[in-house]
Amino acid sequence: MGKRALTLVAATFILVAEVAFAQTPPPPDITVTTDRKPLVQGEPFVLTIHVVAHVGEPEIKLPLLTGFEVLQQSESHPVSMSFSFNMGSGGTRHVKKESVYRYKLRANNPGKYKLAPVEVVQDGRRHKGKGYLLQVLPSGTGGGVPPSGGVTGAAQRDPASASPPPPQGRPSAPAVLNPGDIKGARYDKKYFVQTVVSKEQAVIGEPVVMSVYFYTSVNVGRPAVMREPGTEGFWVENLLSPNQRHPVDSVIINGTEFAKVLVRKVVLFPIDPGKRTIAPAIVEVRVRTGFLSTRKVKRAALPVQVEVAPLPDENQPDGFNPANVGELSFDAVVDRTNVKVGEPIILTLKAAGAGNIRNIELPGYDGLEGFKVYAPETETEVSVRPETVEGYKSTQTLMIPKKPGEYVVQAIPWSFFDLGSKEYKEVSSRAIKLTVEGAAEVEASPTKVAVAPTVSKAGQDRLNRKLKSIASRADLSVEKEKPLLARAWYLAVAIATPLLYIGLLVTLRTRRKMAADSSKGRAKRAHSRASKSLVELEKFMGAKSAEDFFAGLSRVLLTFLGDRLEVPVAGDTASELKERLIARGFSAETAEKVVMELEACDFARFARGQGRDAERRQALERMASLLKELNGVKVMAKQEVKR
Amino acid sequence: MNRQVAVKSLSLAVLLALVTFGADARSESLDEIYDAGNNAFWNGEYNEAITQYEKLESLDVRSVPLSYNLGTSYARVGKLGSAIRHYERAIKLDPGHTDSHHNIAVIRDHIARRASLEGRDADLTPAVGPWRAILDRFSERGAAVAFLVFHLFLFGMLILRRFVRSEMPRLSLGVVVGILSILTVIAFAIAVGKWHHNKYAEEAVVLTSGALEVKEGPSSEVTRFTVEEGSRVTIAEESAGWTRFVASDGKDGWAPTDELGKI
Repeated sequence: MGKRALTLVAATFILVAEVAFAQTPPPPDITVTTDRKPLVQGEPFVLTIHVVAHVGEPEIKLPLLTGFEVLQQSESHPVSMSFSFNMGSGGTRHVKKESVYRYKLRANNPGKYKLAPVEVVQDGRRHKGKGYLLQVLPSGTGGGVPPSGGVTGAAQRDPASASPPPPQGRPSAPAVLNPGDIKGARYDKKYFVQTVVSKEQAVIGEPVVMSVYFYTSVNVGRPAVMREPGTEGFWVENLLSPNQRHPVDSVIINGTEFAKVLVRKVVLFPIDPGKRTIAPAIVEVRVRTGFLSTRKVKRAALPVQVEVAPLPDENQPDGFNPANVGELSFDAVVDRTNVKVGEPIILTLKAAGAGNIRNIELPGYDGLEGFKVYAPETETEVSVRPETVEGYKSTQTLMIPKKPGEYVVQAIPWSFFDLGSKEYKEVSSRAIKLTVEGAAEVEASPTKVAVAPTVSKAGQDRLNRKLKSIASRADLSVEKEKPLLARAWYLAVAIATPLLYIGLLVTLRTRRKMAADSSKGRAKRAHSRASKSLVELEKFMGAKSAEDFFAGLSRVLLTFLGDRLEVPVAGDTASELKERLIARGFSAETAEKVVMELEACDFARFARGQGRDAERRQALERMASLLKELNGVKVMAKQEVKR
Repeated sequence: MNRQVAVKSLSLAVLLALVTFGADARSESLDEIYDAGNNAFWNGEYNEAITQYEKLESLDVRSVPLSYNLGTSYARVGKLGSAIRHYERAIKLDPGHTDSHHNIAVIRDHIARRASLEGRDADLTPAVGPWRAILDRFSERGAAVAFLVFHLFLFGMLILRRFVRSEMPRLSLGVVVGILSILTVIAFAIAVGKWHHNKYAEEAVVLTSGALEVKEGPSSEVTRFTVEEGSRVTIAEESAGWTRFVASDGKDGWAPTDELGKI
């Protein structure tokens, strides 16, 4: 018996333990690897963080990649399932959630970089991996095969991303800031947006770089700008290509490490003088709230101000265009200087440098005697630099000589405000000698040509500056052509509502009428019955005894009253009956008559010496008259009396 | 029987999934086209931006920001008539869209100044009567919704008043009913007015750069008057590639249909 009990207890214990352990999930597997060793300064490598969770949807906190340039990043979440059989718990399905994060990184400085451990919250328990140390050797050190492919295509197209390597030195630690140090932002311990301008005072046309940063201390999706910063009064050029990966830095604020993501970088060229307020951008991110569920969170920066001074009046050239501001050069060239009559020459006027290239106004060319000059074609090329835009703007004028000779394209003057020296510069293109050979062309008779409207480039540029910019987000849907007013449900609701009201009115009215009719009908029937009863009594007036006759008479009246009042009144005393009649709408006089008639009938039943026929006839007539009077009274309904 | 039900349920589930994912995929590609348009605009490639936005229009996408962005892109390339046409479309969908109103005013002012430099008087602000001015403040959908709401409230108050016996509440409800009646009638008038206007009054914008010469008749050489680029006109009839329209000052005439863009 003891052995058996012991075996039973052991088996039970093993069973419970199996079930218990089967319930406890194993900790997540965390691995961090690089695709090459050793790592060398300036050479890209791939860092892979692989997390395998065994229960539910894990929360993963990745380390910040401080000191590394993130060239590319990707993540994938494959799900795999397996089955296992445990004693006692039967078959169990295990769902493994893998998360693979791959980063293509580049260290611009040599040194040792310690990555914080990856943290995983699984099934309510926090698990920490091991910290990872990355050693980056100085450039020129042998080792690792250079990876193929290089930087991403977007970065290759955009010269701004191919910035020169920073100076050698120790990798910089994250900046430590207080919330008060962060201008242009509303600090939040989870995420907030900051607007930064490179200068708060500028002159018209002077570039001001505006950057919008998104700070986050938690894992979020990619931040997206929902509302662009308000840049009225500025001409805007984008410095951050939409295809470019957002640069990420890290800062410590109030002891919490934040990732600082650059989401917008533009250069603003002020158009008009005055105090300009840049309305804040609104940034939206997706935050995970549970398995397959996320919510959108929006944050706005604070507005920032830029004081724009007008260009100086002193030494301003006549007819100066305030769009011509920058660090610029100007010249004129022709594609050939020796031509024959009828052969085209292209005169190119070109302004190049740094500034608001798109809005520069080049001088026109009036033409040259002996040449047919066509309207110029404008060409603009702008390239983005980290802090400004550079490029050129040129006009190409086609000229066709009509007669031979030596010609000179005179120097063409142009003025601009030089931001370097902060003064106006008047420059001229070189004079160009042209030699035209051959015989003069015969002038053809003039052909009437339709004149197009005057299209002024300066006017178009002024217009462009005043226009508000595009909407960055839209809720796109295919519009259903039927207007609301024509939709069936709308018409149904609109028509049904008054019909419902009319229906209600009709119903209430009908109910009242039916109530009234039924009381009328009842009164009629009661009177008819009473009259018939009186006729019967009259028939057998002589045959019945006084007791029978007057009892019958009394019964006729009480039955009539019972029918009218819809309650039996035979058991009422005289005073009760009187009260009841008055309460139901009979006058006091009528009620008194009824009571007196009943009392008379009672008296006559037992009185001796009553003349038979005469008294009985009188009684019948009185009763008929009383019934007629009672029939004419409108009896109140029982419910109304109760109220 | 059970098998049949199971097969039917599975087919329905598959169909539902296809529609849902198909719709999701479709809406994702619409956003991609829109973003491509925006990126082109930001890079100064306005014609490319126009191409992308018009791709969405060809897919029957109607949206205020889309029309607005098309207008702004056209304005940037100097096609001011087309710009105004798209801004008018945006305003038709949302009469309160301030950016469209702002840009239209800027462009009209620019055209007027250009016209005066070329020796023409041009006032592009459409002359509208008071009723049309009221209609222009509301969208068709907004007026219809307002009417339905007032309508339901009105009859709700009437029904409630039917069952209220006390004098003061009945009086108060009577006042409310009176106010709601007026509002309902006004909302109904505006809703029907908007619907009628949108259905029957076809309007267009002059797309011709500069000034459009309005002719006596289709293919006529005789010019009656000129109308500026960006002017809003009301279409009266169309015939063989020509359109007769009425300008805002009441004058009417003919022009090639291609020179006008319907709003």
